[in-house]
Amino acid sequence: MNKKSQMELMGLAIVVVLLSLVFLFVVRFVILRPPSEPIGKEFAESEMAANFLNAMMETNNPDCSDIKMSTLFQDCANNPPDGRIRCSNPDAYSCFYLRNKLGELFGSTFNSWNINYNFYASFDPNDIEGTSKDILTFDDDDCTGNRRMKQQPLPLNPPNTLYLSLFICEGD
Amino acid sequence: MSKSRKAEIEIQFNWILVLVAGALIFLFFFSLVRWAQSSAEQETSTTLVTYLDSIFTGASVTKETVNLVEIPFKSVEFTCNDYTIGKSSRNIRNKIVFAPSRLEKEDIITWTKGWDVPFRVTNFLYVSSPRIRYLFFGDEGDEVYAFLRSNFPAELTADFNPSTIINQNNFKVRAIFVNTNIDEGFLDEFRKMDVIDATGLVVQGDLLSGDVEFLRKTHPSTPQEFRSIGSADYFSDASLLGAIFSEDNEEYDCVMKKAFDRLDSVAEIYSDRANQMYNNYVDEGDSRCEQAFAGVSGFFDLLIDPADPYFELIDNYEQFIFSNRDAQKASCVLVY
Amino acid sequence: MRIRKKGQIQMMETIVVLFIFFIIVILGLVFYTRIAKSSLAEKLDQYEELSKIQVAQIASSLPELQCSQDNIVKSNCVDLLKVEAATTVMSNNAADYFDLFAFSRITIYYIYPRTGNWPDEWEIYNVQPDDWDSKLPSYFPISLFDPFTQNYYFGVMVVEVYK
Repeated sequence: MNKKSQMELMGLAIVVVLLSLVFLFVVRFVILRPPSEPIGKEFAESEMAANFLNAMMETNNPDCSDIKMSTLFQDCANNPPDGRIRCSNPDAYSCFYLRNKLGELFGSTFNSWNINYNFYASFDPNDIEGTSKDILTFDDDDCTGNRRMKQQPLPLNPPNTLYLSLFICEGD
Repeated sequence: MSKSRKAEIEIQFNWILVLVAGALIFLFFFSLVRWAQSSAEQETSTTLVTYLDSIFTGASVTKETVNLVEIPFKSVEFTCNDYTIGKSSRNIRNKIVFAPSRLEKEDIITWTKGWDVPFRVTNFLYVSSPRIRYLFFGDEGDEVYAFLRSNFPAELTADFNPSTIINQNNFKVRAIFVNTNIDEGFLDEFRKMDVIDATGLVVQGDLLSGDVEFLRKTHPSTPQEFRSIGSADYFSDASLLGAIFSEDNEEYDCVMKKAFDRLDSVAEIYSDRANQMYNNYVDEGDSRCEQAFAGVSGFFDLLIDPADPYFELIDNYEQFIFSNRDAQKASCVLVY
Repeated sequence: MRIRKKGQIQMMETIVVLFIFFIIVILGLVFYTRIAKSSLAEKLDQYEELSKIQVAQIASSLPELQCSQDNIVKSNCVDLLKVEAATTVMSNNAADYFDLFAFSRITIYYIYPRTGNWPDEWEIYNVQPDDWDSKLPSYFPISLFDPFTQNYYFGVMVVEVYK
């Protein structure tokens, strides 16, 4: 009778152990799993970067003889340090004009939406942190964590190319 | 009572208890499984419906694309205003979708084409399946036949002027007679098919406009022939294709009505725009552009809720093209 | 007496085992339901995000708004005269566009350059449910084509889906 009750208890103990293992796996792999990146958010951020660059490049500047932003970038990059095209409001050459107007643009968009970003106009396509060789940089110190990047190449006087890189940041 | 009898009775009571408890547990788990199964099926149907919805929405905003969508183990039923998978259905109120009444457990092909009248009104979405067989009959030199031959998606099963027709066990068969007489000789091959699964369409007209007659074969027990179930008009290749992918004139007319509702909005917007551009060119004193836009707003107005939309479309089609051409020659903003 | 007690004990044991078994099963079901609920909430959030993107893509592809030259479409661009007309036309026919946009608000903002010739914003669609909690915006930069000057400006399409 002693052995029989011991065996029954063993049986109960095995059931409890098995159940505990199952709960352990459930807790580890279901409850404690890291939340998956929402696909929609990822797509929206990279689309936002791409659309921003495309729309910005196509934008005409009435204060600068209706010249497109892309042309101003090319002029600034081809003719350092200030560029050759002279704009009227502000009365400045293309590089300064771009810095001024892009500041306005980023201020009306990403800054007012509380979206952190980095923008580099660089000769180096792998420039991800901004260097002194960039012709234009808009750096957000709060940009930490993962970033979604879109890049637009602009042909310059051969053999150079200007790369416009816009990073949308996740971290706050 | 003797001790042994007591034991016998107690043991039996124990067995009864075990049986009852066992039955309860079994019933409990059985109903749990049934509930889980039905819930999973419902979830799958809803997921598929949502997935199809996003496919349809995405396809309808891109131009001239053919997509293959894999639908596992479910059939999809279409009407003019909704589609159903299992117990889940989704409204397609304002999407312009031409589809057969039912697609069974298979890949779905979606094809998008812009409806240009001549300005773009909307995209038409055609839904079909490789298991539906399309038989085209017509003259090789005919404009419409040649268009269908070169543009019909390769992903669909289509035969053009087939010399011999053998039943390949297709789920549906649709015969299209393009500016030619109806040929019913092959219908015996498909005798066993249901009347709604073996259908036909007669096309009379050109790529711009014409009319179509919808046909259905007779009941399997009667001599096999095509019977007319209705007719309709079409304007442009996109709506002709809509007639090819629709099974009857009621569905086709219903979907075309949605297209005309969109035309009302688009024409109104273009009318307003043309009017503003005309006034602008008058103010600027640009006589060439002013001439290009003169009266254009009125042409758009004729397309807003007309009594006979097909007539107005045909009647004004060339006016829009000429106006656009004039605007282009004068380096003005285009009419459309 | 001893035999009777033994049988009673066994039956009690069986009943207690069954009782505990059912408790465990119910606990498991409650657990499963909670996990399923949170996974469903996650799916709904994703769906909401995707639906905002869908609405923006549809809106920017509408022939009623999009830039086109002889039916050649310029992507990610809206014609400002069409937008002006559409604010009235689409509002008057909101029911026709409900299937595309459902309960949402679509607004186009003119960001740069400020010429003073155009309004700052156009609300082209707004259908609210009777009861809603929130409407987080999503921003989609677009080009704005000015037919009068044939210039392109920088704008943003803001999509808010009512939750």
